[in-house]
Amino acid sequence: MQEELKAIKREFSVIDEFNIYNTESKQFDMLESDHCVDMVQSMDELDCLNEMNQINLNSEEANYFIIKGINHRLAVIRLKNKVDYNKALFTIKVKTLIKSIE
Amino acid sequence: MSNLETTITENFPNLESFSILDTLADNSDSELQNQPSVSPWLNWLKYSKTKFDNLTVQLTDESSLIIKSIGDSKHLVIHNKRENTTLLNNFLKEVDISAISDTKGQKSDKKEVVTPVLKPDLKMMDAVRIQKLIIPRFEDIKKEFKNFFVVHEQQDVVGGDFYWYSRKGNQTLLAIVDCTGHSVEGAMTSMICNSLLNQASSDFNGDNVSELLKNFYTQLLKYNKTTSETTDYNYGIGAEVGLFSFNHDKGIVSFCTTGISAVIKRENGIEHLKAKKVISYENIQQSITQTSFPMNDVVGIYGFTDGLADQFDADDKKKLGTRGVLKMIEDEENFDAEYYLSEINKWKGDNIQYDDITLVGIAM
Repeated sequence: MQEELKAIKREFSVIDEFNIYNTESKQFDMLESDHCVDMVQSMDELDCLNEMNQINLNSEEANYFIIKGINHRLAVIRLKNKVDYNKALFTIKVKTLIKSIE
Repeated sequence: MSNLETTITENFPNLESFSILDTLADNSDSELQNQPSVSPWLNWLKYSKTKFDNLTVQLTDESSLIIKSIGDSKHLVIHNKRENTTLLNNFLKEVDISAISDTKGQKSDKKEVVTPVLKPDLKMMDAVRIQKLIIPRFEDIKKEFKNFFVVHEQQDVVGGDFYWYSRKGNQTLLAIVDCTGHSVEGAMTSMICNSLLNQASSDFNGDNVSELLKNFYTQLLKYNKTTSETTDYNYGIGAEVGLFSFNHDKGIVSFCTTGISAVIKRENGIEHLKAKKVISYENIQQSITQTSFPMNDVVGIYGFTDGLADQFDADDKKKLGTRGVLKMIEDEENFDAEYYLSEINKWKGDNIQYDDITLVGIAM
């Protein structure tokens, strides 16, 4: 898993943080910084995470891409602003990665 | 209604609902609040401290929620199922909210009239509108047959796939065209190919349908030669065409193709009419694959562009392939676009659409 994460970060320099949140335990299985904690937990508390497949959030500070995996897991990825990348390929690769985590 | 609301309504009449909400005010009477998949997000807007400019939530495969911040507490909230998401997002990117950001500090009132300065991407909307002009009226084609449907899904807001229809005496002509390229490049080519098909059909005497296709490619070749002589580019434009001719007097269907596949459904099974891809338009007559068959034992006829067979699955590992398309037709639950669109979406899942897709079905 760590190898796959390193590989995707190498391939997509736009990734600032790759976090994994578990909606069953209400905890982060992997957390690189606490930037996204309040945002994700507030979404979970208000049942928003039941009503989504994927989220794109853009702000001046950073962009976030959140996507559902299996076993109650969500990839919560903080993206650097102003870095160009292939969004279609990025989405496919992240989706494959998060769905491969048992 | 504010300028913003009027403009959105005019350009996107098929939205589920939308509203400018002030999250500090009571929004309990908003139509959006009554939509179960949307209401948790409205609560989140109200209670969350997260600041953002744009938020797009893909709720399901078919629906999305788009939220754009306007000032400190106001949000434009759009629930969309049927409008083109790319076009909608492009439109929202162009909306200039500077005029309403001055409302900061004013007393919140969700009924207040907001008059933003708008700069919608009208050029793109015009392109979509103009390309739609070449698409024949659904009712005109449907009345020719027992039933008819079409799935016409462009990869972008405009694209290179289109279908074409004409009536010559007691003969119905229906073509599926896949122009090279997609998006703007494909759309520009489609406009030329539509004109060339119209021109070729006006010269068509009704005898040999492959002659019509030959004339089309002769004109296309001339066009490409002229282009290569007058510009630095030595490549032109191209198109794959699958042309059906229904001769109602003789009870014969003819199919000529330069790359579009077709499937014939009879009571005793289905037959795949394979298409050979044409590489050069020189000596086109020899490259056109032609077949004819009687109408009387045919239940259905289907034609599709390669974008359908080439679509990758949700894991992005496997193409649907011709076999997958044949299986969809064999297992057909309903003879309508909804069934096929649902099957395509099941196959594609959350994956992106790689090419323009056109699938036409004709019930005899």
